[in-house]
Amino acid sequence: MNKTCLTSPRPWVARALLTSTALACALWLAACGGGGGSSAPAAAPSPIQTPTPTPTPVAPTIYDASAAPSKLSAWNLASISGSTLTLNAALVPYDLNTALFSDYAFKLRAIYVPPGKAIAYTDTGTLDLPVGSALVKTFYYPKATGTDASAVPVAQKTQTAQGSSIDLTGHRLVETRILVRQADGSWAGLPYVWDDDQKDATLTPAGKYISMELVPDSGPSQKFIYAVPNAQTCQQCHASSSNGSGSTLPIGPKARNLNKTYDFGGGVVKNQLVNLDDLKLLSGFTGLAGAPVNASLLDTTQPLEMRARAYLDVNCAHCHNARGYASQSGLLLTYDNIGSASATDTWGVCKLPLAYVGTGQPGYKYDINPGSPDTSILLYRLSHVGSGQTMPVVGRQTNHAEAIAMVGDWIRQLTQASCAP
Amino acid sequence: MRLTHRSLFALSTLFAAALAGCGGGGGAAAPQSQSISFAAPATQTMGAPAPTLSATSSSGLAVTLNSKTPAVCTVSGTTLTLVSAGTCTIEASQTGNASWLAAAPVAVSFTVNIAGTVVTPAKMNDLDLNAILLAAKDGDTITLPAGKYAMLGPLQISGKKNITLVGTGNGRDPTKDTILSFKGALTQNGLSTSSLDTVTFRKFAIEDASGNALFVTNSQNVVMDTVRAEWTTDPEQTSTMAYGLYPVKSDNILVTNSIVAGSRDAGVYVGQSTNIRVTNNDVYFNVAGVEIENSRNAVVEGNNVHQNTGGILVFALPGPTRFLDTRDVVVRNNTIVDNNLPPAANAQGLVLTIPPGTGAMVLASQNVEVYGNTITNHKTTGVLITSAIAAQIQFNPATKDEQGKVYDPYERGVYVHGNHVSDFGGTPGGAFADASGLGPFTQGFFAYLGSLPQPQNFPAVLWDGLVDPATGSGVNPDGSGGTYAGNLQICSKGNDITPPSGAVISYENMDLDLAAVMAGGNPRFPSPARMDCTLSLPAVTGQP
Repeated sequence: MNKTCLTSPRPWVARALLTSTALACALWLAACGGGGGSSAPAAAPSPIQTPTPTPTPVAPTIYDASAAPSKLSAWNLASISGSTLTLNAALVPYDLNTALFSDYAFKLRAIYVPPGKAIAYTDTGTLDLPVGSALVKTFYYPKATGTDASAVPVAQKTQTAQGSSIDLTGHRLVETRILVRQADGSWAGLPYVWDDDQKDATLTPAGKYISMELVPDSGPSQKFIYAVPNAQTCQQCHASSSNGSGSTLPIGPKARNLNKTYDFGGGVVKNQLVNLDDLKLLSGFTGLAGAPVNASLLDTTQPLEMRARAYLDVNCAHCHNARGYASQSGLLLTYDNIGSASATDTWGVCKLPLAYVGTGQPGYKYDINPGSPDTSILLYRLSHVGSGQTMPVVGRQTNHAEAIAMVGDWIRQLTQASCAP
Repeated sequence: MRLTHRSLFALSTLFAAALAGCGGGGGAAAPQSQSISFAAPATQTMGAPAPTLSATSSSGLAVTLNSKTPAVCTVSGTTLTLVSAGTCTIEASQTGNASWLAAAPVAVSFTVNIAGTVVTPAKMNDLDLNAILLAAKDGDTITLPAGKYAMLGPLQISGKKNITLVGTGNGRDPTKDTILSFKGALTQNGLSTSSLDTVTFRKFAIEDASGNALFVTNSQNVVMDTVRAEWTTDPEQTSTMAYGLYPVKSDNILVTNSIVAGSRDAGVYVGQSTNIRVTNNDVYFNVAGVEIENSRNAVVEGNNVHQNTGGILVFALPGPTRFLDTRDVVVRNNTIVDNNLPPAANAQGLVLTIPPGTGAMVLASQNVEVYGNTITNHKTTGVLITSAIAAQIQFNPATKDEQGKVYDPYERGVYVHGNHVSDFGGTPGGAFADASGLGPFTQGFFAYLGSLPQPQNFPAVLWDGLVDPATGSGVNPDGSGGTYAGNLQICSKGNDITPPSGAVISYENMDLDLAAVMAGGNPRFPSPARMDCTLSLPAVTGQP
């Protein structure tokens, strides 16, 4: 056992929480050594320490893609102590009002902004993060009991957890994706796949297929192949304004996605934009009044149109926009376009697909047939799996039951005239 | 004493000077022999700077260099240019003059290697191949081995220049061809690429890919040569391959020497693109064989298009974002045979507007010339010319493309001539057989022919006869009649028609005058005046 883990806790002002906290162990395993001791002493429940003197926290190390280390631990983005993974306090955790569906994976997202710099706020589009920033997204699942030793059993649940840590007793880490704003201003995506021993993750630019079994609370489980995207696939979605190439852009961090309350832990619960502003990480933000806000897919108090726009924007528009990888289809599912009254065909209403679109079923003529979800190709492709049918084409091998129900309800209540038979 | 080149040179120079000093005395002196010194360059790599060649003669006279292998390398003066991988042989010669005999030529050879990666069979899976494709540098050639290899997901390339992806052949023999099989893939699409400047796909096959077999978007200088995209098993019932070879939103495109079979939409589909040549391909068992859609400057020639639902399509459709129109297209010298396949039950979308049994179909496009084709055995018609209105294609008249143009549903400027059309029109399909469409018209028309009596057939060339009131003239309030002037006309003339047996009237053309027919009137047949014209359309140039 590395001595570092046995030294006294190293408290400092946790940047994300604006509160003092204690970290029972050194950052990540690089410091902990991964000594394999099965009897690691549990971190003592840490009373608030008096920081005398305040030690300097170990800052994350941000790499350009060309210099990316093979192990995630070298970035110092988080640490594992005992059975808890905790983000480096220099990272700010966040989530999104409505997120990309990834086969029910939970996600712990975090932003790192280098010291002294700030994110340029904008009401529209992706927030402009400074060079040296990183977006860090860890995909993980609640553990489950499976039926097949060849597949990793994971539970089918809807994530509610927030905070800045993951309890590894009850969860299995799958991958951590890093989007880094490189020295030349470009973004690069780097997928790290967690090792079987769950102690560190390994850079896997070629991607990886992982056999899994998704176990619901009740009913039969389903086996699927979890696909860690390769670096090319990252680009297909993240080059959302250049047909799947060229400039990579983050998708999630837009004001309307971030404008929500988050429980940062330690009793800090506040709006994410306000929190970034309080941390002096946001420039040009003038307060929540007038800031756009996306609906949550699951928030039934919100209008269906707002929930559908939010879901289709986050799950489809990175390709289905006028400059995206699926622009040739003419189906444009951006937040601002969905529901537009003048060009209803461009968001699918009574739009004949330009190409065969793989429903394999008669009766499906139009992308959206108002009032008739059961003849709308858009819903068909959201509610089926298989190589010829699945949309989105990246990142989904199982059906998102909650979203299918919501999108179906939305199509059912659309007021546009139904399409010609 | 051993004479080196240098000492030989010195001696011969002295000798020549001595002769000159004698004042040209009768030319009695015999020319001297000379030799060439020419060292072979080292092995070269494509894309790297080539060395300057250096050859000298013992006479001091200039040496001439010539490539004996112009397919691999060329030479101009002392400048060497590498053309392709292989063995480059350069010959140095010196023909002599009054004082010097010709030197014995000296040939040197060296190897020219490709730049890039030669992929081993062990790396022929989608994860490893994608890593190789991602790491490829501008100018690289990625060489794939023979064999049949299973892919679990699409292969991708984007944002690179001068990339060549080449296998060993596009046939079906895994001992000598390169076959990428997507039969067990988790997600759709075979090879999915974007934002490439100069890319060549050559000598490999993509089998059983759902979605698009070979997709290229937002690129320029795209070559698909000796490729095969095929749904291998019972395509009519089981295919989920939407498009085979699919360049879209790209410029300067060549699709050649390739095979496309079994797509549920178009086999070769070029959409929203400019400067296109589709030539010498074998295209069958698709819904549409070859389709040029919402594109400009296209030549489709020398293809063998057979056993599709429709053979060759020139379409402008509502929906695309880059161009909403199609213009300047030539369809010539193709063999278009037996395109009578019913569209599969799972075919969908606008492709279903093709009446099964249509050799070539031109829809809502501008400046299209169809000539020199052999069009045989089509149940509906040889060439169908139609507006989007007749095809009942709905569109939003307010939606604009990136050029700021709205969709124009009318067909203008079509010239069909010099085609050899036989065995056509016996059993019209699609809308012409639809009881709620034009089925009743077809029945009435055939009954009328039977009463003459004349063979019950549609003609070789059929136009819907709808004229845009805004750009034509004389259109009646009900939409019937009207004419276009000059190069806006729809002309079909001078085709070599094999009429149905027993015909005494011309079966070359019918002008449906659809609005009149819908109002209970008659089509213009035989010998419709509006189609009896010739056009002089601007030349379609600029293709690779």
